[in-house]
Amino acid sequence: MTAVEVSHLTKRFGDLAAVDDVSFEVPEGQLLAVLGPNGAGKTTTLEILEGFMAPTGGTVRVLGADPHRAGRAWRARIGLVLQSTSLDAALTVRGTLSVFAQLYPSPRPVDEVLELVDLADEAGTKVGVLSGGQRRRVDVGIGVIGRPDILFLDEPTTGLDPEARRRAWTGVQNLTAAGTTVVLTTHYIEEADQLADRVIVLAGGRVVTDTTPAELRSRGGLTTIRYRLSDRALAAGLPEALARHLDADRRALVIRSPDVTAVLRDLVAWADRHHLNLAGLEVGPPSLEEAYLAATGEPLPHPERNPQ
Amino acid sequence: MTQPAAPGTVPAPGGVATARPRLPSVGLLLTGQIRYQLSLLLATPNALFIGIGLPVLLLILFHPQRGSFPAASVAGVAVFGLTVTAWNTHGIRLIQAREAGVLKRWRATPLPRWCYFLGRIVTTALFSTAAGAVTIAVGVLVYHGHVTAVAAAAMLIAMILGALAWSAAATAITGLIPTAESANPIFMLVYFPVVFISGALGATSVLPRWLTSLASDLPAQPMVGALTSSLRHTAGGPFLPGRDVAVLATWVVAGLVAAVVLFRWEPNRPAVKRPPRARG
Repeated sequence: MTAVEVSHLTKRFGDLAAVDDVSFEVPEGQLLAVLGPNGAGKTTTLEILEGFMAPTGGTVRVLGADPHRAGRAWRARIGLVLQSTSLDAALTVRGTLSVFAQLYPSPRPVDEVLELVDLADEAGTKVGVLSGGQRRRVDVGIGVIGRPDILFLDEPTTGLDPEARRRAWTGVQNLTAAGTTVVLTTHYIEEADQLADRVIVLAGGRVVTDTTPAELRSRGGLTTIRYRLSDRALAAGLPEALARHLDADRRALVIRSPDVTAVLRDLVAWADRHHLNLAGLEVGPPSLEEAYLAATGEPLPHPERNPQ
Repeated sequence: MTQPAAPGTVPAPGGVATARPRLPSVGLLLTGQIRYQLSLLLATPNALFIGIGLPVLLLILFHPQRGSFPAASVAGVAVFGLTVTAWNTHGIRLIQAREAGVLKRWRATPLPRWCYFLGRIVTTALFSTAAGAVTIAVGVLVYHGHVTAVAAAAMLIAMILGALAWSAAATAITGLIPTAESANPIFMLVYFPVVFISGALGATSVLPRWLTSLASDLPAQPMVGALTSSLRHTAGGPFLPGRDVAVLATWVVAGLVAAVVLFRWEPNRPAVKRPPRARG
């Protein structure tokens, strides 16, 4: 069954088409990541799906209903985490979650949510004195407390430290494993790579790619060889054919090549001459970030001074 | 294409329509919302100081010596505390919540919008009426006044109507104020002239007739009049003149209608402009 159906969606603000003829569907239980640079139309699309604004054109159905006209019963099946944290500061974490739990017909127990968002130790702390990352987790807790069938997450891990981000990912993976449909916008390519069943890339208000993370990565172009140089390797001096592939910091080789065999032969021969081992050498498909940047037309993150 | 759910059922994941637990009743939600908003207000020291502390302080400054019971002053500072809470505190907190995205967060929940809206207004009315009542009680105790049960009931009705009128009007005007920074000056600009011509903070005998006539149609002066009459036990006169009740009730209705029309849930949205490509 389809949880989200978007057909020829357009949203205009004056002369600007923030979303321009966007169509996609999300089957139940799928985690869709929406990627794109600032101003691509991610949040506008999400806010239309959440019912905050009406589209200028096209149709949108979420759980079978028009979000802009849907009633309380529909809202009780939706969970969302907005782009910015927005909580009253004076209540405790437990108090805040309890207040929101009362709005739903069958809420999760507050203690379960506290565990889920890893805030059990802060249950009695006022929201106003929490760190930004902790407040974000309270927001996520409110998003899931009503046992939503579909969860909208607008950049949910922005501001979290790497460890908290990984814990949040585990929480999202648990929800999708339980059958919750998730639509996620993010700036973190790694997040999409870890979580998403499917990726949509928006640029200029239009869908430029709609595929799986693996497929997107495979479209990113050439096979990439990465090798971080040890001090010994740096001291040995690279031959000109390899040295031109040093990254901007001149500490790592990043080689994108259609002929991996030839490059590896040169690299291994050089390492052999200087009695170096090649620990940490990576040979693989382009990263999702490289594929994403290729899709949006952005330049690659580690510019080579003399690309092939 | 997904089929809409039959009434009373919703399609569960997997497509089978199942009965879902009933949504909480709106009565329960409204009560919960009032309790929640009240706990937020009570956790705001500024609201307590402005609503109760400041009026009591003004009363003592106006009448440092204990003599005859200063009914007009007690009524005036009580109205001042009540209205400053129902107008300024309520309006400014509402705009701050809107601009911080708190209202938008609530709007995304199954709480009916009117429930949130009414919850805030009723909470403010209860809190500001309590603030006015505490000020009167302090005045009566300190200056040895006397209040009959009928006078107390009359004052309570006047204060509840006044508090609802001011908080509804403040809710309406929030829709016209763009930012939290501009809220305080705009609220003050409207508030102080209305309160000064009402006689809440001093005699109005020097004011021209047209101004006192205008004041009697605004929601502060009728409250001052009703409270003063009740505290003085004016012989032969009603504690709660019908005209004052009618003026306050009209302001309640007008304020609520204007609030429904003008209220905004979302923060000011900056002009949307697609940034140029950052790199390349």
